[in-house]
Amino acid sequence: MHVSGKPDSWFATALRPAALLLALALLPALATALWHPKRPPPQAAQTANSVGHPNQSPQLTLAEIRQEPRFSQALWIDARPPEAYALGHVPGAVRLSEAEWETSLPSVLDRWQPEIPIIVYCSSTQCGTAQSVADRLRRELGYDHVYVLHGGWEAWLP
Amino acid sequence: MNKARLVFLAATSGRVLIASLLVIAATPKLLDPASFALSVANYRLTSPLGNYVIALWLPWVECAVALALLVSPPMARRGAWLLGIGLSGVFLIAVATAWARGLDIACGCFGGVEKISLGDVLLRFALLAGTIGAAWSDQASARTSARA
Repeated sequence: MHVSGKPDSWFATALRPAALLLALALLPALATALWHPKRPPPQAAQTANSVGHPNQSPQLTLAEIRQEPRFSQALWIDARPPEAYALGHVPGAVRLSEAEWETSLPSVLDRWQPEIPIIVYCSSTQCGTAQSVADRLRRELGYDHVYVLHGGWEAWLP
Repeated sequence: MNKARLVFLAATSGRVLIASLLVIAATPKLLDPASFALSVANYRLTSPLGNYVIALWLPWVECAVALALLVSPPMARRGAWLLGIGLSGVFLIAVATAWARGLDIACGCFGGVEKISLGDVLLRFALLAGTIGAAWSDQASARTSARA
């Protein structure tokens, strides 16, 4: 942008204050890393599906789920959009998304019993909604046996 | 009302609007950096260390830029505008590439949880254009004032 009329002068004179602002923002960022009650752990954010968040729900493959007898009674949660759910879903799965949390959570709680595990899935390995829904369930229910189906609906399909 | 006064009012309004948007965008990220780290990671654009640094640093950069836009003199504001335009450009690229890749993720821009759509891409484009326009009018207004 050459507002001053001299080519590159605007940009050149903007660089120093920009660097100063970046440096100033570093201080509270450091404080956040050290003292914020909801600070991400340093190993956080490795990928969408394997973040080292304290309340992160582990991922399981379909083979792992089928091998474990305790998952035979699991409550399945579908975190995909309603139109995807309407086209097909895991038998017995209940829809729940963060966008419709307040309205959909009661139907999940009606079906859930504290001793049965919960497995959340979304569309594929590319989606992150199942992880966020599972993590939120884990936090709000205070229940550790909440899992994410690795690969989502695509993994379920034959 | 003369032209210089109109330019000044438009420039000030644009400056306050952009600063307000930056604060609104930064607030949910500052309140819950861990969740924002998840949002950043969902984009799959940076390394784990990059995600961590962005989650901690970016909201404070947004706040610093907003503060500088509101209180600093015109010359010093240039740095804030440069960063503001840069942030808007990066956000546009991140959201557009996530949408193009079909990622089933939330934007994370203003704390919402809706899946990224074409509307989000267009909104980010409009914000980039608005930021450039506000920067131009602000600096033009400052130049006019300096001459007067």
